[in-house]
Amino acid sequence: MGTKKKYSHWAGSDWRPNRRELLLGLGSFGLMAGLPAPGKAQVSRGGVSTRSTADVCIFVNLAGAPSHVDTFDLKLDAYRPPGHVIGGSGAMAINATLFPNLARATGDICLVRSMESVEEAHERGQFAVRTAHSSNPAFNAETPHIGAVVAYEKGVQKFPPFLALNGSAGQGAAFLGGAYGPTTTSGCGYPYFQHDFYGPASQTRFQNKFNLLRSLDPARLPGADSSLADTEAFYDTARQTMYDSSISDVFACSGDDIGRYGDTAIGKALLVAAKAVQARNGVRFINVGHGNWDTHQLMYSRGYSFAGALNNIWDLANELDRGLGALLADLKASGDLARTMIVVMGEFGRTPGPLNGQGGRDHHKTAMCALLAGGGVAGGRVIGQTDSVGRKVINPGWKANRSIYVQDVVATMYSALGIDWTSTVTGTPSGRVFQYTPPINNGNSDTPAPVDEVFA
Amino acid sequence: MRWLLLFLVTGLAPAQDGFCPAYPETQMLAYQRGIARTRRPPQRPVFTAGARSASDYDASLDVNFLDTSLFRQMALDEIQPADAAADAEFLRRVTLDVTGHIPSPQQVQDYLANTDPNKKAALLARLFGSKEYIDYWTHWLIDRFQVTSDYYGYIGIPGRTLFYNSVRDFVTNDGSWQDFAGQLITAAGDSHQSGPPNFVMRGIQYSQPIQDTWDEMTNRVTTLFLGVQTTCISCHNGRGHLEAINLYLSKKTRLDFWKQSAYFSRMNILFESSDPANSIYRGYISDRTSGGYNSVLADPNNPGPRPLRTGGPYTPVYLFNGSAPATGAWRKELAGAVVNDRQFARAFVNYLWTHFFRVGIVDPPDGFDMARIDAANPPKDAWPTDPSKPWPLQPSHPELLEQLTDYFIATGYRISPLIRLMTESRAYGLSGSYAGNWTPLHALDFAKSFPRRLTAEELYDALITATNTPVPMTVEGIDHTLYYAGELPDASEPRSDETRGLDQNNYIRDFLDQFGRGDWWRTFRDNSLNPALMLYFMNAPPVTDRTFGNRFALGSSLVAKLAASTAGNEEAVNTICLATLGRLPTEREKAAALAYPPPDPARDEWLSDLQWVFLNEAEFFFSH
Repeated sequence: MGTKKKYSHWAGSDWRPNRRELLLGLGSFGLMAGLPAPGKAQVSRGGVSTRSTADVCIFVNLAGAPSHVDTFDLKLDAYRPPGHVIGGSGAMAINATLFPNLARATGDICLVRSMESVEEAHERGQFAVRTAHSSNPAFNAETPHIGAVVAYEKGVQKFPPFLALNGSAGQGAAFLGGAYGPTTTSGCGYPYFQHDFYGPASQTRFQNKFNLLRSLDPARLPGADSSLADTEAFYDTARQTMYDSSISDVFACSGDDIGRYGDTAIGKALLVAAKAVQARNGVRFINVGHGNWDTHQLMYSRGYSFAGALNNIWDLANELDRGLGALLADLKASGDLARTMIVVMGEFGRTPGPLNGQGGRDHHKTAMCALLAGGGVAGGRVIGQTDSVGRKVINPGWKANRSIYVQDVVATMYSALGIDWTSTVTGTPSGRVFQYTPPINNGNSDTPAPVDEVFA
Repeated sequence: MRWLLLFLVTGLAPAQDGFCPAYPETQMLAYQRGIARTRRPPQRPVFTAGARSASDYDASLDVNFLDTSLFRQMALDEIQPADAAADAEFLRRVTLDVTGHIPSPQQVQDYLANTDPNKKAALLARLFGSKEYIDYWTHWLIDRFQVTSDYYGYIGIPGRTLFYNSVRDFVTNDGSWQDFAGQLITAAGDSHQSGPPNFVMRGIQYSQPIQDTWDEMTNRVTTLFLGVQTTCISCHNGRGHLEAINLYLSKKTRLDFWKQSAYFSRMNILFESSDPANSIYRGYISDRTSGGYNSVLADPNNPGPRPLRTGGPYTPVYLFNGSAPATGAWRKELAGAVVNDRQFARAFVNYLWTHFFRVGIVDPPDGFDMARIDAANPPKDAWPTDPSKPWPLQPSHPELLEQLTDYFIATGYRISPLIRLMTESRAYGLSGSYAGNWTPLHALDFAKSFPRRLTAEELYDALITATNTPVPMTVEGIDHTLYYAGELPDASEPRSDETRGLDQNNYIRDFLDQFGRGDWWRTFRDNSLNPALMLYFMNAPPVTDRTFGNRFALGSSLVAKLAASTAGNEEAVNTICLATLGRLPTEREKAAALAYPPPDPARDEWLSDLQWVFLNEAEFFFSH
């Protein structure tokens, strides 16, 4: 551990403390009252140098674990879906029936194929993807989402720093404090940035009400207790995001845009993600959920649903591909792709070779893959290699010379965002030292490292 | 501030294990108290007005032994307690903490107008006799057990409802916690025929080796019933990991844990599909008469989340006193060992204390360090934070914790006498305001009441009570209509109800999810607030619709009733404030409300705006 520096809320570059932050910083009693006390957290730096090539991350979490050998680590000799067209070229081969847009965009994407997961159960695997920590009942509740860590590091400007689209991010800010937690909505149309109950007069009327609210006696209970004062401060922050078209426009989707991204939950979420990035007013981490990749059966049967939701790789890949293709194109056109790191991955891989007896694939942890793009990532690049069927990693393809784990991907993302991934936090509720990227629970306790090989 | 610096320096230094909890806050404060005492000058210092010492501790103010212990300690520490809470403050707090509801305007007015010196006792009697008391404590308990119908397919709606009913019966009958815990630990039979087997079903670890289910059950039992999370030593020995964290567990090994876990190793769970889609399984739980905790994996390719186990088969040894079972009925033996352990009573007392006093006598209440509990036998080991001293005792008030434990045992391990003891005490009734200089030592001594954010369920119920907009909820397996979130049998409810046009169930579930109910499985309860929640509360229809008149078919809302009444403006402001915040408005609030000029003069809109304002006052979110 190198130099230790006391973290300050004032450390953000273009970020001035407002009343809320001052209160957060001074809230010294919350912990005793069982409430989060962000002011107690003390961050120490390992002192590594970061890439700092990105301002924002879009993290597409493919819940249910997509099959690596059917998505970004094709093994056509082991299994080739009949009639499917293969696009891309050479090492960047991609199933163009599933991913027609990505197959044309291989120059912008980097495929990481030497990945492994520690986990083979969804909940535990998803916990690791959300937090870069192994699920541990003693600490799960206090472990923040990686998006909250990013928000905490980068601070609050105007737009909510941590956006969760198409489903809950699954974890909040925990001890880092509510200001850094996710703002959660499905996609298009976040209805709560305005108050719609008096028709055209609503905005004036809302302001009148709000003025009255804030003019009343603060219901402050003296005695070094910040929880009520914090709540009042949250109201002020919330108010600042209302009736501001630079914020609400992000969620206003045109029919044209929806047409390009697809009129699907994932399409609309990626559309809003693109608009949030393009607004350049403070979003730092966007979690985009896309579920139901747990394809144990009939995975190549187009239209197959389980429990009312599409559960086949064909439809899932098509809707994801349409949104990702439009996202890459739009961010590239607006000049934002270079400052936006896109990560697409699930919690583990799936059994390679021929399909199982039910026409699907089961859980598999010794090989998986991720797609990265933007924010300094080199396009047209492949990292690492698995064996001929995709059962396990045979060539890590990066400096650590071992398989890549989710903690390494998160370290890569932190490095791109200029965040010291070796940082540790003391003063957590349990007293555990919280490590941004803890040792990997793979039997060797390997130290996570950024996969610098993905960068241009 | 030297103690603080010391903590910062030493707190950063040790290479702590990343896997088990420490309790530096409690240690730090206990340590600070030690310093405060040793540094105290020989003569009593002159403090601010009202400062006292042990000699002027006034026993006549004590309601029960709880007060004697707390206020004597405050006097010893020269801590001035807060004043007693005002009537309205106390009424709202105790009504929330005992029934999960805010008081009605009529209840507030009656209580404020009541001049009977025994009105507090009458209030408590009313609360204890209410249906809401049963609802609330049932919910408080099921929230701990987390038996949710959505836990894989292992519980389902039948198992969930049966479990809920068994907990509800326990609360209704004011039964013995000892008996109830014993029933859960030894639960046998069909999980779709009786409630307790679902406690076991909730512990099943899907697609993991059976040893992980035993280990999880063990941690659930030690945490829920003994206040000790043992999951740390399910993966590694305490040594080399827990020295700075938990003295007792630092001397325990993974082998000790396996032997504790062996109590579950003769348990047998048979599964049978209970629906055509094979998505819900009922379990049939029984016990074998042979076998032990072995380290053999049923599937060598699936070692599970914990490091490989070795040796065995092991037979049970009770972790906390080294006793071995006398018979081969190991779960029955475990139940006997647990419920007859004094720690079983102590842990429950401390959990309940944490509810009413917000901070445990041992805090967090699932983090007991068994080597640091007994005041007659204090730890001698060096304290890693300051090796020149021995570890401090863990409880802030060791004698009081033992007195409360004795009381719980003497009253038959029933919950209601303990709740009454705590709520009738003078200490519980202190104000949340504190006029003097506040220090961490004040907090350690419980010198005032601390605010507690309402749970999602309490907040929803407060919202519908304040606005008088109860909406019926239909829940499969419950034969009557529910109106309050505190009545829901688990966190998966209310499910969508497609038979109704306007799906209020979805609205209600969304509200509860927004405010951090969690799902009792993957998503944890979160009682924090943030700006996004404020946006929701200010602007979301499930909240704002309720402040309007009859526009949203929400029945006779408070605003609709007031708009139709002859109440004058001042009376209306009083009523709205009483209904929402459980108190009369301050003069300033009243003047501001009466001067509020809505651009649209419609009276129901004026009333609606005012209720919106009072709902959004920060204190609405707290029991304070």
